[in-house]
Amino acid sequence: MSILLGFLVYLPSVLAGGLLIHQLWHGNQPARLLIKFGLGAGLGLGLTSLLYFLELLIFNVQSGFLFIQLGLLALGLALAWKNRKQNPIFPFSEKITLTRLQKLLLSAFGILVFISIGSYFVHALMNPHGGFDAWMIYNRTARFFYRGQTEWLTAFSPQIYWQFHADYPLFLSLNVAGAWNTLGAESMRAAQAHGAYMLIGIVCLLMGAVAFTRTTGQSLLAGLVLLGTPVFVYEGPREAADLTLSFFVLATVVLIFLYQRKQKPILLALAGFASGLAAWTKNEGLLFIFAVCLACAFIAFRLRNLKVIIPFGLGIAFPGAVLLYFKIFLAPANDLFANASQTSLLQMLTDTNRYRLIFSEFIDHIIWFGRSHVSILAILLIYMLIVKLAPRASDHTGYLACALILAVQFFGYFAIYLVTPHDLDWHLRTSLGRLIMQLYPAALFLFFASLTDPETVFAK
Amino acid sequence: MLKKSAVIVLALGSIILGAWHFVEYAMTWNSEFISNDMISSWDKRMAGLRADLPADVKTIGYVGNWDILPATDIVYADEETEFVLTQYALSPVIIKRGDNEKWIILNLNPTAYNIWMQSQPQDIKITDYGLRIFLVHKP
Repeated sequence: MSILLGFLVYLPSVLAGGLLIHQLWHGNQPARLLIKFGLGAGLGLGLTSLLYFLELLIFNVQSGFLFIQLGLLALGLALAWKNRKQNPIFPFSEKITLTRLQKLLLSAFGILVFISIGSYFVHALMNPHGGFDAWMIYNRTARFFYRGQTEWLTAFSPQIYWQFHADYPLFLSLNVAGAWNTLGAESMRAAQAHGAYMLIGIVCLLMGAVAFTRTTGQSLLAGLVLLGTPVFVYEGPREAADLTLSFFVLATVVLIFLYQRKQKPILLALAGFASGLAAWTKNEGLLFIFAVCLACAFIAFRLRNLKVIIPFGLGIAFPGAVLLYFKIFLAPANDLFANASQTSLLQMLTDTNRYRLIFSEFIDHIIWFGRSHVSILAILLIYMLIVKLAPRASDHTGYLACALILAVQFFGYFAIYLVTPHDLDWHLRTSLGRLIMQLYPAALFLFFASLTDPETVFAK
Repeated sequence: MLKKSAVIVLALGSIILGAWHFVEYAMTWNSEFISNDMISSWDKRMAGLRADLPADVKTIGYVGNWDILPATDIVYADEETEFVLTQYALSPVIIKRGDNEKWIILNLNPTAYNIWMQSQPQDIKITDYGLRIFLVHKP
């Protein structure tokens, strides 16, 4: 029962997100609707988190979480009803007809979905409080909110030991505390359901985006590889924010890719909103905003159109403003930069042993990423060599812009390890695998968006 | 032919990896963890102490074996985990390492407990919650 309630408590936000995105970006081809449903999960929950934060800040009451969600859902339903003729959801504008190959891949995907649901529940049931980070950071902060009620600001006391990361952004903790306030109890199943929605959102978004840019068969293959990566399914019930961040990284990358293809400003505005929510999820999101800004500048240069900055700026404005307020007025100093001196920074930057250790750990973690018994990277590289890359010439700007985002984020992580004040070995061991996971779904999107699709392979 | 085989292997390989992971993890299944995993147990262990803390206490000290014993005599990861679990269980009370607060939690083995006690005044009040957990109140 508590598992069901955990899922129900966030359902209005997820549906509202999908409905609102449908109003902003018209069209009801199946692949497009899958993208919108996937986007809706993260953007709906993100919008709820931002509004709930404002409610706490302005009124200092915690009871409004459900009302915010229902308000958003009512708005989404009202707009969908009002625009049902110009912008219907059903019937689909394209008839779904599958070839024999696609039916086989769909069956394989169905089997893996079934297995993944089993894996998810085994993990969830045996780890009701999630992983170490969940009870150290996110659920602990949620407890400060829920148990503290009107004294919720205690969660940002500088007296809290640095390891608890009281400066971390509040996306997840607020939504968990909001769910507890709605349910009237500290239900860990709600925190797990939040992770499950992100998991579902990533699968739908990745598959929808690959289907939209390539083919149905390619999209099913992408879904199979994603769900076949053990660490990915394991992340759902871990109740940490890495999965949520990987959702927003994927969402931003997909939206920017779609923008260069469709040139619809709303896609860039949504990319701005998604990247702002990435920073509202984890501190790594701040680096991500920088990476996305570089990509936008690159697109503006390639398209000879500086105006692309405007919708992106409008999209990021709301989450960015909330985050800025949080960082300036509430969050204590970050442990990585609180005691940094120029001398120690210089020492770390010129220490070749640090470069060597970080580099070897990066290689090791990337090759063996996924908690699998085989190297997923090696499998994907061999697959790529066999079926060959087939990027579309018209999408080159999109490929380059998205690759730029991932590269900047990747090298940014490298640079942060270089200057970390903590024991480098400990820092790498406890975080690198999660950082790679944050980029994995977006990397999979780029991979499958640029590869020869199975339909073409089997047509020969 | 090679390309077709690659597609089939990738699809089937993904299913096998997913199933492998599921079986591997399902074999560790223990229904006791559903309601009594390590974190829930620690929450229960701290429940009595939490109830005894006056409502106006906002910060509390914490002394573990790692504050008393040499590094060779402790398992750092266990000490760290228990400290984190204690903060999680007692939130929103802030747990500060050290014994500078009026209220202090001791999570000490007998050797460390005896060493710590030697440096304390006689009039402190200590409540024993079992399993090496004590609550100290300095007057």
